[in-house]
Amino acid sequence: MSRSGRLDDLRTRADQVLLLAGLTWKEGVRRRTILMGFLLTVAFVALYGTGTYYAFRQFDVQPDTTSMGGVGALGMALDPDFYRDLAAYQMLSFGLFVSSFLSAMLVVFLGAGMISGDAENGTLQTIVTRPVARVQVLMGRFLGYASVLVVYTIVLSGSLLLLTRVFSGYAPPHPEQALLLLLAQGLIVLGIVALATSTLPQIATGITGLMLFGVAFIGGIVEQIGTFLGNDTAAAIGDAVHYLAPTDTFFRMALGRLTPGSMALVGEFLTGPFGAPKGVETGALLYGLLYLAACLVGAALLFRRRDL
Amino acid sequence: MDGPPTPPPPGAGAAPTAAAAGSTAAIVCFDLRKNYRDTLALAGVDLRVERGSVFGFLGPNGAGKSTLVKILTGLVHPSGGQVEVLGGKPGSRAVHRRLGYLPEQFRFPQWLTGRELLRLHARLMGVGAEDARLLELVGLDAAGDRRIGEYSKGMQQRLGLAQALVGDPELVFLDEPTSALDPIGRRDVRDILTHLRDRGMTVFLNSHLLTEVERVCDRLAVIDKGSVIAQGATTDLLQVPGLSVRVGELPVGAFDAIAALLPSNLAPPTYAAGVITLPGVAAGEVPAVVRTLVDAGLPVYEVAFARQSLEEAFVQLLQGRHPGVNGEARA
Repeated sequence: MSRSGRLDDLRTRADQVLLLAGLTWKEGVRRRTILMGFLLTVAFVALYGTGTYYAFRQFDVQPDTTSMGGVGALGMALDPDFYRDLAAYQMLSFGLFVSSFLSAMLVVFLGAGMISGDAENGTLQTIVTRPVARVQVLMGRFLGYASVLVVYTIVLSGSLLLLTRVFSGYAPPHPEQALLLLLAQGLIVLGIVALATSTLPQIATGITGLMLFGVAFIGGIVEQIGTFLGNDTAAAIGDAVHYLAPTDTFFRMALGRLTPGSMALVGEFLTGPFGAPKGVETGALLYGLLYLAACLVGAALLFRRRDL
Repeated sequence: MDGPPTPPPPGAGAAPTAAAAGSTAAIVCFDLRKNYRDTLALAGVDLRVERGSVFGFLGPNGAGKSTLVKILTGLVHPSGGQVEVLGGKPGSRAVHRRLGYLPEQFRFPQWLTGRELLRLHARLMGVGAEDARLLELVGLDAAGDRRIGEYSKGMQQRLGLAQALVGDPELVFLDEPTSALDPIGRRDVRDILTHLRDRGMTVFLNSHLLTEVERVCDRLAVIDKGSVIAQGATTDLLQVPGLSVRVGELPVGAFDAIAALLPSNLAPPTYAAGVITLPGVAAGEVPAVVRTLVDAGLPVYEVAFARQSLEEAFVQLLQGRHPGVNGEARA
């Protein structure tokens, strides 16, 4: 094949992938899932905004420093906005935990049928017998859901970051990096779902996706407690779980991008139920990206071999 | 006739290999096998489908019809044997560009309109939009802009046929394309198939509606328990002449007594709906047969040589292979 012929072929293949990805959005619009998702998201954001607004409107009352002992005194000494920032961060970590959980649920519910659901109900058979490679079909489906996830995460988590900033006045150091890490977390969930749906039935895929997300979250808590109590075994177990599914690692690295520098001294107080913030590590980032790539390559190989 | 006129006996060395038969045939299978875990779906299928024919593929439920079509369309990977579709490997893009397929269990996105579905498939095929022509061909021109979710099952099947014809393919696989259609719809599909054949398209028709197959297919194969047990021209497979004698309703048990009186060199007769059918009766034997029936006290209303129907040929082929088949045919 000549060079221009190869280029044309590549363009045709890319067009087919985008055509299939676009179907995800068309379906969302036609079946009103996007409308319903948007309305409920607006309700969630409005509720969060109202809470944040009232919480910080009355925040001019300084808490009793004596009741908090030395730490409170230390905090007051470091930064006059210490309590405001602490409360704003806690609020944000709670809000983002819910939003990242919702993103994961969305991805699992939408993506579980990506291959197996469509194969079971007979939608896929007329598509893959067209001159498209199966890997193109997988890519089209993945990109469709990934774009939904990106828009959803930016709208939802972005709104929480913005509302917290406006109503509390607290400016997290790296909100854009936090958002990117949350996006990566969602994409890893989608990668797991893509791998599972290529070989497992739809229901099993949904269960696998949710369970792995939950296991990673619990692993994070075990590690947190282990570290807090100085129990190396618990910390090691929690750490190992993160290799199974690095979603929680990415969530905690995102939190780490939102804590102000003055809080490093009182790190343990930031250990809420939604995960302790974690510094961004190149190793963890690289592992997450490789994990996602491995999921997609595995999905492509399994889908290629699958009898439909 | 290029293909083997009769099914080669199991293990016969005379069957053509896929490589040798190549170019002139639309489909060539040699010793094609498929296992699903521990069940055997195809036990060495030899098949040859010439270009430009409407090929009927018959068999009882679970015989392996759909599995074969899925292998030929690249959906299922064979466990062994050779297979060639349009001179290439099934499932390759080059082959898919020239192929159309209507699966037995299909479902189109319910939120698309019929026209949008055809445009989607045209884009995937890399051809221009031809939705207007195809919608008209299958009689859906008035419903083209309605959502598929609002279509009746029959309309969805018509749309499925239109979808299979996108891009003017050289070879079309239709797996039970008339199962949801009323008699008018079936006649429409028959006319479309004849029209396609006249234009040189090869049609591979999976069906258990034998009268449909008999009317449109010029060649056919019968599969049972994963093996092809007969293949050839439709007229060849139906050539066994049969004599049908209309005698009216018989009392229960009377038929067996009469059958015992008939000349023993004849194939076993069958009785259904007031007609006794005697396969393999030569013209010279007719007076003797009629005399026997009249002597037995039966009123003979009509005696005619009838070409055996495909249903009868089918039942005969499967007789002995399935204990229940004979009883069902008489009932």
